[in-house]
Amino acid sequence: MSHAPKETETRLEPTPAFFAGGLAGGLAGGLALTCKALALRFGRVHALAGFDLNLAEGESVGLVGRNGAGKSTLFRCIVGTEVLDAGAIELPAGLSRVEFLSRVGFVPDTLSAYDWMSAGDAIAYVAALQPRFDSAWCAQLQRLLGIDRSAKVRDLSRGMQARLAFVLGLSHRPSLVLLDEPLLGVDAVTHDVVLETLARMRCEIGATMLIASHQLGDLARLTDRVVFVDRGKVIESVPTDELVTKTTRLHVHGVPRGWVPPPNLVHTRWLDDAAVLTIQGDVAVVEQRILSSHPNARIERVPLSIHEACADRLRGMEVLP
Amino acid sequence: MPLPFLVHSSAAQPIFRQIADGLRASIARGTYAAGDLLPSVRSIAEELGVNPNTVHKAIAELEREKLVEPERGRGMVVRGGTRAMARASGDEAVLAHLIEAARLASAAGMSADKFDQLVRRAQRASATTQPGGAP
Amino acid sequence: MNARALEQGASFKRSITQTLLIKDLRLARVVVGPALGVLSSIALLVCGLPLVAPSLARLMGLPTGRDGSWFLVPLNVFAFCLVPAWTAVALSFGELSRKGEVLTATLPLEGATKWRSKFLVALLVYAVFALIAFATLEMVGAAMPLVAGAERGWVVAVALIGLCWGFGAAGFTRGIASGFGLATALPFLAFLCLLVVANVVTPIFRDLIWASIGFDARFFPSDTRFDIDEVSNKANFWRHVESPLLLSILSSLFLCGVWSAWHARGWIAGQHAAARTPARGLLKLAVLVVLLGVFSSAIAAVTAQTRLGWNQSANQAIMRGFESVMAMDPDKLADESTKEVGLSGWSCNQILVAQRFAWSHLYVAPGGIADEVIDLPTSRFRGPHWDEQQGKAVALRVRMADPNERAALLAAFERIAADSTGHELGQRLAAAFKVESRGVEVSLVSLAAHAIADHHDACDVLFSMEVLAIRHGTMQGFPHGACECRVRAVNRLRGVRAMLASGAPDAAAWEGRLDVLTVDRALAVLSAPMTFVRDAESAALAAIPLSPSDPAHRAQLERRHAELFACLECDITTLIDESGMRLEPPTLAE
Repeated sequence: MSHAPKETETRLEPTPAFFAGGLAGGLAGGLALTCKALALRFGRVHALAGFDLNLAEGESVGLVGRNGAGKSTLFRCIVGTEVLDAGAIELPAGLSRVEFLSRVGFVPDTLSAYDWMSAGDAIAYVAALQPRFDSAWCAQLQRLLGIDRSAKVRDLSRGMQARLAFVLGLSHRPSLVLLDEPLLGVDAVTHDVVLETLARMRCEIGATMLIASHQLGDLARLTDRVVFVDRGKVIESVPTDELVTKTTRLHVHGVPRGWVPPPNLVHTRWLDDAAVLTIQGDVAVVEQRILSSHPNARIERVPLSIHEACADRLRGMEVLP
Repeated sequence: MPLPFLVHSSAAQPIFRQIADGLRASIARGTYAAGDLLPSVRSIAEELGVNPNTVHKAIAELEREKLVEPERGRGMVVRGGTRAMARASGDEAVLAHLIEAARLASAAGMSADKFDQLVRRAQRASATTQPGGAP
Repeated sequence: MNARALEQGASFKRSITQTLLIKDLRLARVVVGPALGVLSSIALLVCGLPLVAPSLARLMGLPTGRDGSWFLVPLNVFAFCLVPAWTAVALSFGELSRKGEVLTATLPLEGATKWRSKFLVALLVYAVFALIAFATLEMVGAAMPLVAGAERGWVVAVALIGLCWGFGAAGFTRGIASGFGLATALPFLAFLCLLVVANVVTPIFRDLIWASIGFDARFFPSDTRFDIDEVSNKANFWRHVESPLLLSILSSLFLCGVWSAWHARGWIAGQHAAARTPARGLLKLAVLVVLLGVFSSAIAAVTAQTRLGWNQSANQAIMRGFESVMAMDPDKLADESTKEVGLSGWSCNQILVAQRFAWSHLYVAPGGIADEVIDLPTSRFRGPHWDEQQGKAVALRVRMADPNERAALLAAFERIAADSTGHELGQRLAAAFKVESRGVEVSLVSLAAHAIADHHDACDVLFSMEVLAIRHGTMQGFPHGACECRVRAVNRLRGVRAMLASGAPDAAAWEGRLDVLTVDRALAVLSAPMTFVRDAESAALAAIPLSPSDPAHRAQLERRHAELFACLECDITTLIDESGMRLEPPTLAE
């Protein structure tokens, strides 16, 4: 029933060789990052409670969890606006905190820029204080995202704020990209531009990415694996492809209510007389087990998209002790 | 050249499989002929807005199926005589869809003849929308 | 490429320091802007409106002219104390409320770089408001004693303390509103707490110090009036503690402010750890305040004791004198306390010139009176055992306050006053003085009258005359009041004679002590020109050892003698008639 994090087995090893297929050489490569037993408490709320995460160089990881699971807090701890009560964020060897920050690009869920600034001022502010600021790349980002430099930060709509946050966070071509709900409120065109830009950064820089999002379809496109977070802890780490290929929903008719579901179960609930099981792993084996104990059971397989697969995992986490 | 397919992030198919299927279908259709350079991981990733690792995984699958091979200094090249192979592996994909369709038909209590008719109608319909498609 | 550079708008890049300073100045504007607005509009209203439209100003009840603008001074001083503190709050919370927090935190800047810029801006605001406050003081507050001169130092210090606490507020709360509240209230609370701690702890330190150097609280040396009262002695010590204590409390307040600003440095640089555990931070602060309170009290107590010169020798001397008198046999005490302390070796003539009342104010420093007797340029003269005598005087007072002791002592004094053979007249008069604290003064007057009637010794006559005069309301003794003394002594004796002759019931008390005959003889001595004084004492008077080298002084002395002898040698009728008195000192022949 429990899903132990399977960091080492499930991590997709980045293959530097694959870039050789079509990418220009001389890439900086992504930053690795290790979070060890992070703990942070706000009053009685444990925002982080023994959070472990290992980001390999060039890896792209999605963070999925209910609201308040600790995702935003994790980001704030990594960039240093919150200080941990316990645990450690291990930076790549030889990097000071400031050097680390100069390679990190953080796009927060709400735009952080002084309310008196115009978009242009905010960009100039970052340009002055960010030693690795890449003005050509920044100009390109602005053009792609359609930034109106004269617009005041406080007047920007939600989508425009998200776009500006993107430019501010990524204008120095960071090798570790932290995205907190990056696509909330943006229009379809911006959505595509952002996805393409992130893909490009993955290709050109090999940037490591950590993306928290409730837009699970976007995570499917962008990540190598998805980490499920609940109450400040990592519950499970699953390769993104396996979320779809190895998670199946079964509608089982003709079993009594008190029936104990088989193992490999992600989540179960009852709809009328049918048990709705979400399982992971080999479907046939599970079906076999159900039929051997309940020969009269009728089983329907229902294919799942990543959205349902993740949602059922989140539902499943709630019943965990 | 733009990619002749799209990926759907909320489909029940994983992205890498959608890409592999798309590329395979393109080879089968002859969009990428033998000796042609397959679009690079980077260009596919940027165009579709997906993780390059995922693209790599899709191409690795084609490589495993011997549809493409790496060529030093150029990239992935479509192998000779692969169109039939692509088609053969395409057969399986089609078959999978047909099985799904047959299941639907039997659930709706459709006769085998009626099902055959529908298959033919589907072929005709796809031929008119894809004039350059498979003969 | 050019077009692209234009599009970026980043071709002109500011330096890091410059960028941060501009940002922090913007943050400070939240407080500084309104503050400047309010101050300048009030100043304009008060100073400008009466000039432009006096009638309108009167209508609004505004004070007109320069006189009315005085309150700009306390206003601006108040602003100077408050605005830097609030600016510090705006600077440390501003990132949050102005939404720049994460943006600046994610930029690769050292924490020190970030708070250095804020500190510079806060200092700038501090300087500007100091300038405003003191410029106003110069312009309109010249007549204001309240914030003039020495107080400026305090204002500067208070504003600086406020600045530190303003930054420190960020360590104890996450909200800007409560930040402003804490920045204002916390230093006040801390100040009160320091005061309370100091009030509790300083007496403990004082007692510890006194115990360690063997300093008796009862015998606190005093410049003014020594008292055995411990409470007033301790209050006297507190008077010495006050100013060092205030100084050390303010220093402690400053140190606490610096600590809390240091404690909040993470927040000021964009990390929120400091304010996440406000209870822990406040607890640490409270402990620090208490510790510093104890420390300041210790410093203040030591400073006060240093100012007192660690004066345990004086303390010991007082105690010695006190203890010796307390343990003394009543007869011996009566004898000793009526001896002319500090006058041994002085001739009667010298006393005549310099030591009025010296014999009667036993144990009290004679030098204290010497100054006013003659306007000699002598500095204060103290007897050789000044501190010890203070102790003795108090001990005598203490013993006299005890009813049993009092009776024994009075009997002893009576014996001395009555003993004509064993004691000199001066001592007998002094003893009589002690006995006759109020009322009939039988023994004192009869003793004096006998001495004058006998007139064996010129000095004795003068003493007695002065005693009679003093008890008859003389304001001045010798030598200034020689005429008055003579007149009052005569009047006194006449009164006594009338009472004795009338046979009133009061006369019974005089039975066997004084008779009309003796009084008449004494009156005859006083009424006739008293040339015998000059005969007996002129040689000695010429040889007075007081500042003999100074010719001016000598001339003054001689003038005094002339006055004295004029009073003594004139006919009594020139000073007094039958009906009463006519006090006109005889004119001196130049």
